[in-house]
Amino acid sequence: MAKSNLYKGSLTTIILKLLSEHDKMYGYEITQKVKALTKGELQITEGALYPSLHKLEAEGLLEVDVAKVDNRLRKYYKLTEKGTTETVNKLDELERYIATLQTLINPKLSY
Amino acid sequence: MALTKEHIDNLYAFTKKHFVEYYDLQTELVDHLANDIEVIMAENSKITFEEARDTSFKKFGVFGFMDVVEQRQKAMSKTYMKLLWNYAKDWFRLPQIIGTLAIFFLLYAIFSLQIGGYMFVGCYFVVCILLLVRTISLRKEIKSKLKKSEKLWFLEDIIFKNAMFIIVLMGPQAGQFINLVDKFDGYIPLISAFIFTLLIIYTYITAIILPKNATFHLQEIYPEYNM
Repeated sequence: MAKSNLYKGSLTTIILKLLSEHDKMYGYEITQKVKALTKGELQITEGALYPSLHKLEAEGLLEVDVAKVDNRLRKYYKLTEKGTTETVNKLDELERYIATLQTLINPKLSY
Repeated sequence: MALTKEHIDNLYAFTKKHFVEYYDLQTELVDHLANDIEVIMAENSKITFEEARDTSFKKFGVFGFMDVVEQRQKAMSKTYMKLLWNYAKDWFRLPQIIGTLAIFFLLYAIFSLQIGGYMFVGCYFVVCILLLVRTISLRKEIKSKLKKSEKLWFLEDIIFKNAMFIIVLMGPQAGQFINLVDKFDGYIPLISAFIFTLLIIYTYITAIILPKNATFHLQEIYPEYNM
């Protein structure tokens, strides 16, 4: 799963879902959280994470906050009001997609 | 072990060496690398900072930071277009729309004269000359800014590059319009006045308003701007 890139289409939904459960998160924290929650099964690559975060920010779904931590600046992301609404829509969309895939993978045959 | 200030400076230089010129993006990547390096070093006490840094960088793939920079450019261009659109909308709202209509009707009246074609070319040249002067002053401004702060922000770069790009776009077209001077009749004065009005608004916003208000927008978009 980790190597198959199957998660890419759902990456923004994963980010939005995580941020809906946390007040704010930074990039590295998101990668580690996903890794921990999926027990290493799903690993978000750095090259995919930041473009998604920047896209969501440009769309007004995320807002940023910066704090000084250990000699460096850390950029935190949090959901905007628009982002909170979009999270619900995206999760609903993903659930329906998973259900559709289920019917394709495990079709219930009727005789 | 938390990285020292020297390590962080090394990481800023490292991102710059790998074609990340913009401070806002450098800052985010430096924090990411620093977090990862700290974990790598905690797991293996024998590894040096440089080795841990290179291990962390490899995780970005064969193209390094290039993909991140490219996508950031797209996102920032979107932000820029939003700013541009917000300013442009104002020109079509009361009371500014009175000014917009005044420019349009004035241009239409000038272009409808018998020498309308020549007037059009004249106006075009005036705009080009003003833009050239503005471009030179903007180049000076950004050079002195870079010298002082040594920080280049992605959005700032887009604002200034776009402001300086219009002359590159408009300048070469000037010659083509000279051939049109004798064919300035029918709907041409009306269409020209309409297009010229939009051109004036676009030029004014990109070359004057946005660079003038750049600091305000940078402070609005980058919380770290004043840190």
